[in-house]
Amino acid sequence: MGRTDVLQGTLDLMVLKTLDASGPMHGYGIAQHIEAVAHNTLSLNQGTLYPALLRLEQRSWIRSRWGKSENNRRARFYSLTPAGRRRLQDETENWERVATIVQRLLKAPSGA
Amino acid sequence: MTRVRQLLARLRGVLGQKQLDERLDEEVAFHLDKLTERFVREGMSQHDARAAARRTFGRVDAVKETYRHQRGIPVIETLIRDARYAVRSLVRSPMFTFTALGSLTLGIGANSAIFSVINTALLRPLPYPEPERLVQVVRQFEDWDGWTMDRQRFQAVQENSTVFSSLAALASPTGLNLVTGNEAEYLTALPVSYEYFEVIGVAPTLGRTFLPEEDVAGGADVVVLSYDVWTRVMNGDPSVIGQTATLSEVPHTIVGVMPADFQAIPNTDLWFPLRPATNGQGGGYNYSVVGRLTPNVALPQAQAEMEAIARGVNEVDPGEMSDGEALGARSYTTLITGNLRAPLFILLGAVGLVLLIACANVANLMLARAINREREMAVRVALGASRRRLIGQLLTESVILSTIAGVVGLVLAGWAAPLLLALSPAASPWREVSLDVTVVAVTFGAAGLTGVLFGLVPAMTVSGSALAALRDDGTRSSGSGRVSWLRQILITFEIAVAVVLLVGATLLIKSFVNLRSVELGFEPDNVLTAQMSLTGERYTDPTTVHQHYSTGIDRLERVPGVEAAAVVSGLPVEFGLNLPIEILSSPENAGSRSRQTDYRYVTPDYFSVMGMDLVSGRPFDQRDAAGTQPVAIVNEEFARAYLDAAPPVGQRIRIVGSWGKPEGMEVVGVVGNMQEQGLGGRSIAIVYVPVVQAEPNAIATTHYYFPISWVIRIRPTAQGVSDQVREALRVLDPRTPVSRVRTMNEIISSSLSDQRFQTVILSLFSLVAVVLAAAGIYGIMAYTVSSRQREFGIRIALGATSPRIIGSVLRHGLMIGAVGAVLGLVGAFALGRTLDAFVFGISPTDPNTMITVGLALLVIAAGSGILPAVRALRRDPVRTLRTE
Repeated sequence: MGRTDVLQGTLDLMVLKTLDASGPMHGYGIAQHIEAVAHNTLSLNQGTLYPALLRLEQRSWIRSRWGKSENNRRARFYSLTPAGRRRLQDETENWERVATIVQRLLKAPSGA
Repeated sequence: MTRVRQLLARLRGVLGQKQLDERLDEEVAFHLDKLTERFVREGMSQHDARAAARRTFGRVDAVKETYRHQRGIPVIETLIRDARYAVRSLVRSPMFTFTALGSLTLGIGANSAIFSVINTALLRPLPYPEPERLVQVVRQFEDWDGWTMDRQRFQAVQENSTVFSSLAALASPTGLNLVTGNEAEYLTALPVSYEYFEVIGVAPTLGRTFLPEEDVAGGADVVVLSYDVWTRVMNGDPSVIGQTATLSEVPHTIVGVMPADFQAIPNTDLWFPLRPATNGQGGGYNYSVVGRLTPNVALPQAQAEMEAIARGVNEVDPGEMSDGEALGARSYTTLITGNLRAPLFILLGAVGLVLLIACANVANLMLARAINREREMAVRVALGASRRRLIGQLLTESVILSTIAGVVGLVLAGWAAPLLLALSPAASPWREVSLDVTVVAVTFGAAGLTGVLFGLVPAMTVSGSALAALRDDGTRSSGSGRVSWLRQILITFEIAVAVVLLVGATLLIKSFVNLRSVELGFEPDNVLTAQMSLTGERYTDPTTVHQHYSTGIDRLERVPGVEAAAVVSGLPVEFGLNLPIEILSSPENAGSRSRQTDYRYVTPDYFSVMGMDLVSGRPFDQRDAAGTQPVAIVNEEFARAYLDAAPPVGQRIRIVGSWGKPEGMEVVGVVGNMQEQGLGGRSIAIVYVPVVQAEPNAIATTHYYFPISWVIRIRPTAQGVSDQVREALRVLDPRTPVSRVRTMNEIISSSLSDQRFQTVILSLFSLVAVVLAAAGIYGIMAYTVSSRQREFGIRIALGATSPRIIGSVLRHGLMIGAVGAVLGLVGAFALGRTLDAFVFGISPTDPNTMITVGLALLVIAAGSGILPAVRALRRDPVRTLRTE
């Protein structure tokens, strides 16, 4: 298929990173951003974004408030909190470590 | 932190569900619209774009579901689900539910009943302002306290203490006759020094209390009424202040009325000034001294000052204090509630043990039940339930059980607590028990704890073995090692606790029997008593009083059924006037003032009516008249303490001051000790004087502070004598009412009310405990035996005989019983100390009691296996083997 399912947990990281990179954004914007970055190689039901957003908000990593969208419609805008920024940093490092290990493992010559 | 924040956010989620729902709806709508817009921009038709947007978004309802689930608190939802499931499964097995609920309700109910009494009687302070500042001054000896003081000591404390903002003395309650029109009523009156009302901190609702100048010899006759007397006798007329009431012949000016909610300790109808004197009443230990501490003064400070004052008195006047005597300060609250405190806490301990037994029982039931459900558990594990979920679900079940038991227990307690208080001694000023927030909280606390206690172990055990059961065929798992061990431990524990309780109850019952059969020193059966107050001028002259008594005795003896009658100024087991005495025949002792004796005047036949034998000498008779040689009879304690140098009869003694004849009295006889101040108490010295020879001053003082008693020996078969006695005494002097006619045995019984309370209650709880424990033991034994049926079958098939198998069951029971009994005896031995103050004539570690109780439990434990074993053996072994 060539499209990757989103691993549980990685969606959180993606949302945090997106908000970090582009500032306050509504759910639709976040979804489009992730899709654009993934160049359509990601199979994401955009709806699943909303439970994730709620979860992140409950953990105080992001906060949300009503605002006006580009064409002046009311939309919920999410932004990163300081706690969220720290979390993103931790998660990023963690991800990179795991990725490195997995990569090394996969590249190692196979044998008995 | 994050977790807490998340929990709070979720809590908000539970509360603000609708708001979040609307927010999500709006966000979803926005998202779908934007997607549709995009797809239209990319060239789709509106319709197709909409469909594509839905596809990209995913299923809206699924999103909402996830969102909702996450929004709330799954724990709570799980809990509700578990609770519903638990209730269903409890309803499905009514036998189990009823048995468990019965055990627990009994346990929890008993606990909250006792606790509510404790809550009322001990934890709630005295009904006076700042009761923690109230202190009683006592004569302090090495191992006991004298509650009463004489005038000298009261004065020493009055003059030298700095820790009290006010200090008062009161005597023991007496009786006064209130005459209104043709009616006369006997009222309880308390003599108090004028500072008394300041000390307790309660002001009269009407008028004033006493003035210092009214509280001295010769002061105006004034009286303060209780609210009850004021409303009942004076019809609540506010103009009574300043009016006179005739109390025992003497007109008294009514100066005040106490408030309706004022609870007097002890119960009192009216108060009159004590008028402390250094002689007579004030010469003996007849005062209780109560003080209110200055704010910010603590009890130890007061204690230190009292000890210093006692040292001061000893330095100034070395003969004044007895050997080893000091003064001390005791918390008034503790004194008032003191005789309830220890028994109530012992009871709380006892009901705590009962609850533990109930817990052990229910834990066992749960265990057996859980084992039967092992397959169900295993299936749930296989379907993905975590161990925590299983434990949670089993715990929910047990907590629901214990909560229901808590509710029912609370209802039971509300019904039982007033009964308990009614059984308890009257010393407590609190007449009603209420189930307040504290009691409810403690009950549910106990219930919750209980639920976890009996639920956790079975839950953990069973959930742990659930997977193992799945691997097996699931039918033989009940014998699994860990569970069976647990069961042995529970049963051993139950036996041990039951032994502790039974030992305690047996000791108290034996003590009670000992107390009842204590050598009273007299013959209380078939003796009626009637008290009356003779306060006033009419009855102070010895010849008049003697004449009055003679006439009365004549009338009484003419009542059918009456054998003989006499008069005494103070009954055995009750208080009498205490006076200082000197021994004239022993010159080296003549000057000492520290010798105190109880003083009682009697009519000549008193000793024969009471069935008292003289140890030596002669009783009073016609020889002892007004003009002849003054005589006295002393009791053995008096002779032991003061007359040990020579044979008592013939020695001469004198009451110090104007209350005794200047020439003294000759001891003509010695009587045995009677139990004078409560059964099992210390014996006190007593001197008896024929009323005709008593000094007028001594008679007046006695009458002022104590009611006198008629004692009447009746024929055992006599019927309805009380009413005729009452009538005869009414005719004798219509203005002097009789308080109440009681049998001597009733008086003795009421002096035993403390002990009866402890004995009855503790025996009751022990009985409950033993029944619970026996039921539990039997249940476990039956279960164990039935789970060994397969083994029995095999053994019989292999040629074992029934007796051998029963023998093995018996051995098993004996072993468990022995371990439990030994553990219990060790516990009972260790706890014996706490019962020290409550046992009488028996050691708290009495070996006979211990061994008997231990053996009894051993027999129960061993025997309870036999019936199930016999039943098991009656089954056809072949069938047993087949079904397994």
